[in-house]
Amino acid sequence: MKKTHSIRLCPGDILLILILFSLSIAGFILQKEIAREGRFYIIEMNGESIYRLPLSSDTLITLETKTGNISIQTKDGRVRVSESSCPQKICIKTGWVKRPGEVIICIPNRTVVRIEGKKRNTVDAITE
Amino acid sequence: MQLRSRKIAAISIFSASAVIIYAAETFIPKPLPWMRFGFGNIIVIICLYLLGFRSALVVTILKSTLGALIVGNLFSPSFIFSVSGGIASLAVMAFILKSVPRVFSPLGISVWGALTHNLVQLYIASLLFIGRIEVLHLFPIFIILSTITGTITGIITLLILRRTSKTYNFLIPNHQYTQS
Repeated sequence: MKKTHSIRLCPGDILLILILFSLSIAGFILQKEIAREGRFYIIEMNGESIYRLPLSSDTLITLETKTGNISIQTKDGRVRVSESSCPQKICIKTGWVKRPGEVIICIPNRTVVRIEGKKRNTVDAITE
Repeated sequence: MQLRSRKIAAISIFSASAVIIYAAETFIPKPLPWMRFGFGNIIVIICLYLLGFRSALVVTILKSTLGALIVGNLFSPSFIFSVSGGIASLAVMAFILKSVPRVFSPLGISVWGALTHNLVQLYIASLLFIGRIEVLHLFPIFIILSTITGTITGIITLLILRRTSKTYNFLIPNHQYTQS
């Protein structure tokens, strides 16, 4: 009937905690890498998507439109319109975008830059 | 016969304290809405050490059911999570305690319990509500949170077990651990 269990701190405890911590940190890093590698952005012109390009490489693309030029820059997994011939420069003022579902729109040039992927459902609050 | 009634008395005391702790824990403000510290697990682990798996199972089921009755979420999703997670974590804790009795102290057992509890909850949540891919994203967060909460409850359990062994000797003469 009488068994002996240790009720002192064992090396196994600390080892277990350390392993779990490193496992979850590795998981976080891996997830971030996958999320960065796998994302694409789409350039649409006149309502049709003309390019699908990865966000992971740094590029600068200049496209000719009916009304002028538009330059689209990718850096550090983000994308922006760096130069545009449109009068109000709303597309440039939008700045960098990186999250799935975010868009930059330039109406005079009839150009849309869209990050691929579903927009994530954002919840305000959860009650129990 | 006397031993049996003592055991029943001990189980009732443990269940009562587990229910109270479970209910009181609801009032602790939490950084995340679905996060729990699982302080009720302290009692379950103590019971597992002193009385064994079966009594601890009784305490677990009573804790979840009566606790949910008091808090007011009986048969709601969080009640299902609580019962299934509680039973699964108890099973894992008892298994580890039986197969490798001297590798982990109550602290390690508590971390195992918290981990199982949360992962089982996550699995059931994925079956009931969310798609599987989303669940994979939550894995690291759940592991790190359950390690932290498991460690906190484990330290408390360790301290309680070490300081109250004489009381338990009086309550339960042939309890299952001896102080080493």
